Amino acid sequence: MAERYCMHNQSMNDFIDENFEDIRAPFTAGFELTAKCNLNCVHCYAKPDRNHQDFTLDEFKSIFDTLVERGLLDCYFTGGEIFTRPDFEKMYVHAKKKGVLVSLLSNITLLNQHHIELFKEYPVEVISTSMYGYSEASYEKVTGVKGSFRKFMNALELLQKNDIKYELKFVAMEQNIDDLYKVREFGNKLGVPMVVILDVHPMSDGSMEPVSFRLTPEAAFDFDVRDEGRKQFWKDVAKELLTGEIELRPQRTIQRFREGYLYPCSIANQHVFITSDLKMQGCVRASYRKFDLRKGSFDEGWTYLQKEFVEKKSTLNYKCNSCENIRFCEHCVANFMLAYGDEEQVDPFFCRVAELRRNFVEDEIKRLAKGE
Amino acid sequence: MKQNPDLILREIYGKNILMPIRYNEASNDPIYFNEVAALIWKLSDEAKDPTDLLNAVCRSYNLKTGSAEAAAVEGFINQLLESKLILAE
Repeated sequence: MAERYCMHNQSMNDFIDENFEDIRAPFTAGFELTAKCNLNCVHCYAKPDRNHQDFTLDEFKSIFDTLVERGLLDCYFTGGEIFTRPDFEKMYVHAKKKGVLVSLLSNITLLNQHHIELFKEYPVEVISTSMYGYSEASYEKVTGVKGSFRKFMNALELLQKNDIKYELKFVAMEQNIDDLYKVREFGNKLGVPMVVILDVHPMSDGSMEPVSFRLTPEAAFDFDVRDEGRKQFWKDVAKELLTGEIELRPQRTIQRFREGYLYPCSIANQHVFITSDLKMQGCVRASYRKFDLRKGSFDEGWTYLQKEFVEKKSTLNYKCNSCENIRFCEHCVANFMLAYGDEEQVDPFFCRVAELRRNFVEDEIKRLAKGE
Repeated sequence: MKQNPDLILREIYGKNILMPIRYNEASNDPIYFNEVAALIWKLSDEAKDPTDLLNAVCRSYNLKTGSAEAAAVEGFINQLLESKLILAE
């Protein structure tokens, strides 16, 4: 009987998709608490020399409360490094008390027992942290800071010992590719979810320097077919394609893409990103069009972003519209804009990876059809 | 009676979601409530005891005491109490 009154264990994203499909509201959001960071990672998309003053605690509370009034349910805090802010705890507890789910993106090298006690009292959805290398040498080759690996490992132990929910990310680059499978195995042994990122993005100011550390498309695809989990994923795609149409993206995204919208995702539609200098963006990547919340209201900014992103249609020249590999692609218009200053200038990295995936899936379909 | 203070009811575009704040024994994940469940939650803070709460819900929906619907509501109130989502002071 109780099932008729309430429902447990439904993920927040599914709940939003099922119940608010046609409502434009900031149900999810990202907050960049600070631009400051204690590491100096080679691939970081956040421009390191932003010398602005981070928003104050009162400014944070004000915009956070506005988003809560408009429907905010799920958010993440990122940086810079979130734990460099002395008032991190106040912001975190404020968000929790408003009834919003909070995930944290952090390098965790500043995490301590005090934070652990905080997360025991106010549980965090997940702490998402990157393990840049399996050894001190490879980790610090990426972070550029001596002693950071030891701090990272100590913090990891704290999270593990205290049963705080976390996930390990691995940003695969030339500097650390040899460690990819070791980190993967390490994560598996710990029993934590692993996220492997294969495409390094341009900096938020458009600088392409981080992209130079990116794997070749062939090396990125190699992970797709060597990693058991990923390989199985693509094999399942082949199996499902044999039995009927499947889509790898949410239905609304597919629909918007077919209707010619340049930004078919949730950008500025059900998601918003607030920078540490109190600017409002459609998402973390779309730093090229922002609204200054110190000069106008959230509603003014929300209207501005609708015109700039939600309603924007692609031209007939946009290559992705007619691409047969689109189903296998993780392209992002915001990355194209950052890299080339043109939303429709496609990054060939994504095209090649998608092509390789398609070939793999087609071969798999042929194999299945033969009954092998 | 009172609501478990470690959770907060969010009403968003006609939907009701009980969101966790502090670690607690009842639930550390969101719980999606329908309209009746949300009303029970809201009324629980003013009710003296479970019977008072049941009567208040029945009044809101014009349910007869002893009806099948009232029995279902009573069952759900008991579940909320057992799971410590609402607390008998």
